[in-house]
Amino acid sequence: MSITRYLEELRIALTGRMPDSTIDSRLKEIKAHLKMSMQEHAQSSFEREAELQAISEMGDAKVIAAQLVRQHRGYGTASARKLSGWTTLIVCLGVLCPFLAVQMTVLNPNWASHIHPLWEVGSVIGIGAFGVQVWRTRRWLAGPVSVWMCLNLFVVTLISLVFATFTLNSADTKQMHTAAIRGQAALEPEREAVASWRRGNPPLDRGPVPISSESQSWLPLSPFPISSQESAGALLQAMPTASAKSAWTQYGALYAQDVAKRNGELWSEAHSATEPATLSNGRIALNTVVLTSQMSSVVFAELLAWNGLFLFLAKGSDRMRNRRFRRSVSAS
Amino acid sequence: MRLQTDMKAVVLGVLATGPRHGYAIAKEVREQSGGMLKLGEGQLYPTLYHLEEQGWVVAEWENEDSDQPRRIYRITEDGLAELAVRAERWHQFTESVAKLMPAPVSKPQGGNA
Repeated sequence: MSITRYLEELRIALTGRMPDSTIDSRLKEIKAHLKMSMQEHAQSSFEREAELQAISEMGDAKVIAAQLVRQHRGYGTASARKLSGWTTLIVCLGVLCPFLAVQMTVLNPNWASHIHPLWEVGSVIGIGAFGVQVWRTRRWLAGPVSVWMCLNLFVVTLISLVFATFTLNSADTKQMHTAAIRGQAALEPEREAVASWRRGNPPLDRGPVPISSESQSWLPLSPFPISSQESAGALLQAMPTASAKSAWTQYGALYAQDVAKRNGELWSEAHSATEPATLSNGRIALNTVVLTSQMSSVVFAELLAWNGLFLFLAKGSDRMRNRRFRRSVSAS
Repeated sequence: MRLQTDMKAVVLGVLATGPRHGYAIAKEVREQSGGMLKLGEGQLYPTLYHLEEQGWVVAEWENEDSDQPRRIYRITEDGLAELAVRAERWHQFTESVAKLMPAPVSKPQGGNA
């Protein structure tokens, strides 16, 4: 490795990432620096050794180039809010899409089974984009991303809860609710039988309740404590209309997400009464605030941890590259 | 324990004593701090370019046509004002910490009686 070769590597690493005139100026200054460093070292050692020592002190060309590019692009000084712009958009979309998909299940209940994978894919893309930006900027970006996420979650939760409330108070839901209570009551002997069978008693001598293929789509997401597929099949048959089944599926999907934690309380409230509960605006607002703050704190903690990890890895990678470079220079 | 050093203030402080090129700044920092502070080259130039962008230092080439051109950095009026603010903040910080620290324990002199 010579100074000329080192500067060539540096030029290759900088080309296309900043204007050519800036590259020329930076390389000229670094060359002057290396020559002065070499002259100083040459007073106590051979010329070749002094050259290697000067290069070694400068560090790996790619690491230096990355630092110069970061400085040129203003990553070190620009506000974190500005730097995290497109990352925030991707992270928010990653969260927003599954929530919107939950609302869409009212159109097609079968979509409910795709929500969890969508959530996972959205999270991976969001965290990936966040990691790339932290790696590039070497900055703490968790703060501004979390603020936007909180606003995003607040709006989405509010929409979800208002939507669920309207559906809960609709004629369809009332019909479904009555049918559900009827179905639950009718299923009591079935539940007893299953419980008894689990305790080790032989099953009752009667044929299974037929399960329709339709029940398979919503069964895993059902919010009710259904202990067997037979019970679920019977419950589904007890439902009066297709739209009621669809609304039911929507609640199931909401449960599948953590959003349903609060709605679950509303559901059990509605379920325990003979008529569905009417939710006040205050209750919706309170639920929205509580749910949003719960989810926001989780999101913030998660982003903070990811940010720390990516920063640690990025800085560690720089240190490792410099160490490896110095070792290779001293070996040559 | 690790104290976060304000490298921008350190560089401005060196330049306040007179104009210098990058290599001389790094050398001055190392020598004046008795080797405690090492301004890595990878850190030095981005810091200098940032100070230049802020208008706290100005740079011009010297001996540009010779085989040993040098880029000399000079502190500006704005740079001096910034240095005063940063120095004030740093002294307040170190004084507060010093009040909480016990006096250094002098090591007993070794050797046989």
